[in-house]
Amino acid sequence: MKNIGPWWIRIPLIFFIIFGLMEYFIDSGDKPAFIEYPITQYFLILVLMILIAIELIVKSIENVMFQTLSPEAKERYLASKAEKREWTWGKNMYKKLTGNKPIEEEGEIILDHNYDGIKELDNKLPPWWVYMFYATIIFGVIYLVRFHVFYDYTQKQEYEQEMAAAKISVEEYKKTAKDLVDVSTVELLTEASDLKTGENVFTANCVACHMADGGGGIGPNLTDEYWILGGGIKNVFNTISEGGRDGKGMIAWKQSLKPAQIAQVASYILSMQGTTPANPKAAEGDIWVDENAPVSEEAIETMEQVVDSVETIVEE
Amino acid sequence: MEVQQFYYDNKIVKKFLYATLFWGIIGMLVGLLLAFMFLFPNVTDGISWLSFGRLRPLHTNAVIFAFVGNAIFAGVYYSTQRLLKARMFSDALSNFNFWGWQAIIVAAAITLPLGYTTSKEYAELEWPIDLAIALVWVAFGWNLIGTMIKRRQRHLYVAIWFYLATFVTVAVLHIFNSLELPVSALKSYSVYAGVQDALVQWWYGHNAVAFFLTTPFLGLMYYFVPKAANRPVYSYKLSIVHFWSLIFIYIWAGPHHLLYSSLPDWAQNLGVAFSIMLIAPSWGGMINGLLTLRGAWDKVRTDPTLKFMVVAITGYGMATFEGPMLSLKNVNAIAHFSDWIIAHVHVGALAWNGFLTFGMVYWLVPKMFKTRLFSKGLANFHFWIGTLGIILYALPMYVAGFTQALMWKDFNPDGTLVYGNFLETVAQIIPMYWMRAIGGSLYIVGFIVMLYNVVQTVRSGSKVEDELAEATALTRVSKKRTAGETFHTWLERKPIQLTILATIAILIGGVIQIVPTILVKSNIPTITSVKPYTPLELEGRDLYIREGCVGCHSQMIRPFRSEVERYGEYSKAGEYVYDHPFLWGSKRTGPDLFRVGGKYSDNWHLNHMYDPQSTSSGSIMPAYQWLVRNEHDRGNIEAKMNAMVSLGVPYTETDIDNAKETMDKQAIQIEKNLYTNPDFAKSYEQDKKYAQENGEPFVEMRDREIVALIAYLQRLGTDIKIKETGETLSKNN
Repeated sequence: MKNIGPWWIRIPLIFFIIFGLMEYFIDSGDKPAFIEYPITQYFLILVLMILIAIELIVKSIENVMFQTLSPEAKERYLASKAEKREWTWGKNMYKKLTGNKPIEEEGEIILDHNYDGIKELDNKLPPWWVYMFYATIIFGVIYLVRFHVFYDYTQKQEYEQEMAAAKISVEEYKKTAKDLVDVSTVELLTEASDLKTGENVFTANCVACHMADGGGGIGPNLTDEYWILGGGIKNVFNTISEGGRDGKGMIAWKQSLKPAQIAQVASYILSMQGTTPANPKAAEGDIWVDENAPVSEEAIETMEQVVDSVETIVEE
Repeated sequence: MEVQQFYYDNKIVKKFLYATLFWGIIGMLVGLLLAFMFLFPNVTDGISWLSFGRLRPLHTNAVIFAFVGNAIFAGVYYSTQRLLKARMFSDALSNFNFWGWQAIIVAAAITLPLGYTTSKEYAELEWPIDLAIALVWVAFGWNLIGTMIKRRQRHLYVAIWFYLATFVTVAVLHIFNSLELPVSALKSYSVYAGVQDALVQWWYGHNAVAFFLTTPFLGLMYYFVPKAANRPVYSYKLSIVHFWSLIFIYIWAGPHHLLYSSLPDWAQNLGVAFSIMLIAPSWGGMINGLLTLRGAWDKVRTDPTLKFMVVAITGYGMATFEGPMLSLKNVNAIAHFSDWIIAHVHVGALAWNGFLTFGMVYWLVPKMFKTRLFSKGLANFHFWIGTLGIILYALPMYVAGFTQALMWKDFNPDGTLVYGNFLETVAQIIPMYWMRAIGGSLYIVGFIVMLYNVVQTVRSGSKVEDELAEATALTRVSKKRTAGETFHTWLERKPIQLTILATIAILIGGVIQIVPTILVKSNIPTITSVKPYTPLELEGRDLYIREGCVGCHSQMIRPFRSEVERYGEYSKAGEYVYDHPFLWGSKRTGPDLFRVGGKYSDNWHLNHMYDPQSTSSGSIMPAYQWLVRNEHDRGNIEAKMNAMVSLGVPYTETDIDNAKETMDKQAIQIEKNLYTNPDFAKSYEQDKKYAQENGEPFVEMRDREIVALIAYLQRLGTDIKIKETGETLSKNN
């Protein structure tokens, strides 16, 4: 133990090594083990006390032994102890790695250069620097060999792997997740709290184009019974989620709104049916009548076009 | 041997010093204004030439080429004469260098805010100014090499090697990156397109950092640090090894600015490997600088010059370690496009370039005016407030970059983005932008204190006069004396050979990366559905370039799940083949726009440009109302299309002949789309009626700038656009 520094380094060092090992070996999920299993805290306190106890015992044994020595032996012991305090290995290593001449011996390596009074020393290249340079060159060679001799993977493959892994985890989640709303399961909400949240979402995101009273502006009037992409909760949900007509209509909101929020805001929008806005925009689209049909004709049509366009003409 | 007497030209140094201080404060104040525009986006409301997009290149150019550039010239002109024991080769060239450089800066300060820009970062200036830069730079090199020819010092000191490498490489970089086809007096198109343009640009951009911000400053460090500390340079060997390895390896690392882009994998990976190898050569400079101060640390405590230099060299060491780390692809995936990069470059600029310049100023001014520094206390104050400023600038930007990048990538378990609205990630880091602005302010306060200190010192000093010096002339060295001479010792007394060898060293990496990318077809897979822009879209694209949209919006969707989810299918090299110049961008203050086409309605774009906060609450984009009002001059379209044809864009002659009609047709369609918004129709008709009644001229919407810009934005990324709704919808059925 004499080699690992004084007690105030030794005790924390060993303590944290044991602490680390404990965390490493105990499987405690997301939380660290000492929070997940409070019992381990007692263990750590015990470890700390034992470490202190060992220190004290060693110290007192050393003291007792020291008292038994003859004066000369005492002196010799103290001398040897003072010598050991120095971490010679580290010191030598440091010297070797920096490789510089001490300032006092600088005269031996001063070159006869004189540039406007600037002199130059002939210190050798710092060995640590040279080793670092070699290491980076080895890294560079291995890197290029890995990707261009053994063709480990390309950034396209990396992307495909990421997408595949994501697909699996999302499907896994959907199997177990509850209360997921989508276009096939969404229903008109009538609870006051849902409509209130819907109104908040509407105010935050929709008023720029549809006006606060739903009278329409950039986007169509939402209070009349005409709908471009079909009325009814399912169509409205779908339009908000996926966006309007390409290039003319609204963006897809599924990126910024959660399905539950879309259901709430869709319900809020439908609750505006029949109100009279201050500045109503002229009707667009068709009268929506059949509330039982799941998705309007037009919506299906656009969907089909869209599906077609997935097979685009990308040639790589 | 005859001792000759001659005079060092100190007046030219004084001129460059004054220019450094003058442009420094201007460049930094523009930067500070930009920092405040993140907090108050419409602070320069409605003034087109004070808008963010146009001022950003002014800030970068002013700081790099005006502040740092003049500092380089000041230091080089001072040290070269003394290191070569000769007056500069020609006073006429010196003065041409000075006045030419200032004229270029003035030209930049006028044209950039007016929107004349090539949009290539740090090379934004248009072709006539590019020619002027080439001319002045050659004059500088001629003067430098001429001085070497008539030198009285046999061997060239390491600082001179760095100056030479700077001259040669900047010339090569500037010429090849600025190859452009002029369309009119202040408009040109880059001869390279898309991926190739990106590669050449970042070969330039990266090495502008290397050979304009780094090598000349290493040269200055090698002169001013040993001078100020009065200590010998630590290791001559280290100077040699790190000089050659630095200039050879640096050139290769450019592609690390394009990681995960559409650049071919092999070029990216070369960039990564050489960036890592760059650590040691860069650090060679740092350790040689810092170890030169061995035995002089007591002086560092009291001497402001040395204090500034120590922080400068330390900043250099940090930035050049961080750079290679940022070149690792997994680190870059987080840092790229974020404020992390802003932090990185400002550690380099504020600490390395700024502080080394300040150190040099504090050393040179008293010396040249033959007096003492007016106040050491004020210099110390400058040092501490400047250091604090750097810390307050950099740390918040690191936090901002890291935070925002992680928010961009955060997914809900159901596969949707947690922060689907880009603005949420912006709102999160506004406090960091505040701290950055405060940090920048402190740094500028320090600068102003230095200005006062310098003015007072100058006033107490005597007039700058050319300094008398003497040295013996060089005579031919006999064979006997050079027997047993090492190769490098030989090279050090042969300026021409040294220049040639340095040129070869810097050409290898560039040639190996750029030539194949331009010549080998398979590096850019073509896509048949990708067609040239319509004339109106081309005009709109030029507006996008003019307004500097590329300063905040990228057009490069990287192949990550998070980016594909947010922006759409990732970018393919073949989609950019008609992009002269490329507009990939390097920073996302706002979202990527590569596939914005078709995402919003024309009306949305109109309202968004007129008042961004009306469509996107909390947005920090400034309003572009002049685009909505201005009549659009599309008179040059034929010349533009002809230029594109010369660059390989397949417009037919009929396309060009019918360009005006095609534009009108597309513009009228957009105007019609806008009419679907009753609010627009109403207010537009009102304006029209008002103009008619009052006999004022009225510009039809179809003839205004905004229409062309909308046409361009609606086209972006649609050539192979895959509508993502397809998949989800078909699943639902």
